[in-house]
Amino acid sequence: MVIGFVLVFFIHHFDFLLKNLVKSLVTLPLVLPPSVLGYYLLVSFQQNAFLGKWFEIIFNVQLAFSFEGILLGSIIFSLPFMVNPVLSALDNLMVSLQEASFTLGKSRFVTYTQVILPNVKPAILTSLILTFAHTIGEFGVILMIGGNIPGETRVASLAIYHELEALNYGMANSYSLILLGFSLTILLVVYYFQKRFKPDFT
Amino acid sequence: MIEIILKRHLKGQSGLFELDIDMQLKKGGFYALMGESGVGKTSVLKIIAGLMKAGSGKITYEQEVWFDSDNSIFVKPQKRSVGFVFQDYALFPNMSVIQNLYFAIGKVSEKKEIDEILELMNLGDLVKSKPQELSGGQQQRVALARVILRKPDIVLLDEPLAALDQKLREKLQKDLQSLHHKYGFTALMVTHDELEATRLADEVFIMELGKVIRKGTPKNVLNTLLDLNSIEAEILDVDFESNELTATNHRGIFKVNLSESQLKNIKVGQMIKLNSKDWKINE
Repeated sequence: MVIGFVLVFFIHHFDFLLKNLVKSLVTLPLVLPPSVLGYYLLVSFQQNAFLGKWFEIIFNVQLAFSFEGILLGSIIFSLPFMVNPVLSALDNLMVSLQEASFTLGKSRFVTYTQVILPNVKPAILTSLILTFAHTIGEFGVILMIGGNIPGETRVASLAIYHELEALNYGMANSYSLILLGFSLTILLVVYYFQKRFKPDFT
Repeated sequence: MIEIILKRHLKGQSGLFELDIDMQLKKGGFYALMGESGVGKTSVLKIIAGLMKAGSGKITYEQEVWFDSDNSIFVKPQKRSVGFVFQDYALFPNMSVIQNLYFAIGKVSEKKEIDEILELMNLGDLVKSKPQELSGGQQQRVALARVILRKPDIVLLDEPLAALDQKLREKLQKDLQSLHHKYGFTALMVTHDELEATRLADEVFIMELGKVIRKGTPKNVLNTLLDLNSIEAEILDVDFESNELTATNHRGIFKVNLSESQLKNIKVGQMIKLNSKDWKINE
């Protein structure tokens, strides 16, 4: 979430050379097959790869086939769900709001916390919930980098796959039902919030 | 005295052009900035406010230097004593009217002044409303109040009344006039409305593609502007007894006295080209 905000801030506020490249990279997980993303993440998470080594040295954490690994992977593949809704809400916000705040003598920080963020609150909430839901539901990337280790990296969606492989239809069914109910509830909550925050007048 | 000298490239609809401005405003004066869309009027306001940077030039208010490209001086918009009134009002939707005003002054202790301005702008009953519940005229009055509360030396107005209907516009012009008298700020207003400029401004600047091509009192400048254009209008009525022709276009209704021979072939509904010397405006 914090990483998402920082990215949103940078993409929105600075007109830099590689802006389109950064935007594309953030959106990439949306269009890339999970296996491709998973493969590249796994390769870079290896202990002798740059990212994997770096993490091991600084945090003493092994990334490949570990909980920390799928956490980092989740952050990366969930970025588009976090960044894009907030970004488009910011783009739709009137430029004059920020300019008005500046000419009223307010600093960038005050403008951000008191004017801009409160007015994109619905988008932030939506993106938070969607990101969470998507993270719960992700399968491919997790399987690739986490490797379905019980008690370590076996998440709900992987558990269903595992039970099905073992022909435990009953277990697979109940896991699936839980996930279905969960996802449906989350979407209902999202739409409820979107309606609540919509102003009566425009 | 406010001195504004600036140069900057601007991207317009017809491509890149150079904004090249040199204007002086007297303290306490009311100035109108006019011209077609896309000639850089709003950019001039934004550069004065510090919301946009000029390529080169100098902006000074009395002894204060706000911008000087030669000495790399750029004073942030927050530090300039400027108020900006936007066409879309720019009230913060997450705050009520009163919160918008408190946000502007930043202190709660100036309650007396808030009450005064609320009364002046006739907003007393609306303090708890959210901006989106107000009409356009009410929103702009709140926006004006929010700017005035900070007692800026210069108030920049970017077509503030353009989105309002004629009646409301006239009312807000009067409000603007009384605010200007009471608080004595220097005003620079972008407008397309010649009547509005004539009513409010001491001096008018006419811009064309990045440059001020004419300036002077509204009477002088706007008359020459009209003289240069002949207008087209649709004939509404011809009175052969008084030889008077009535025509209309988006600017209003015009009556012209013509000779009998000129009126001979004219039919109602035709378009006619009138030279501005021939007509008078019916308000």
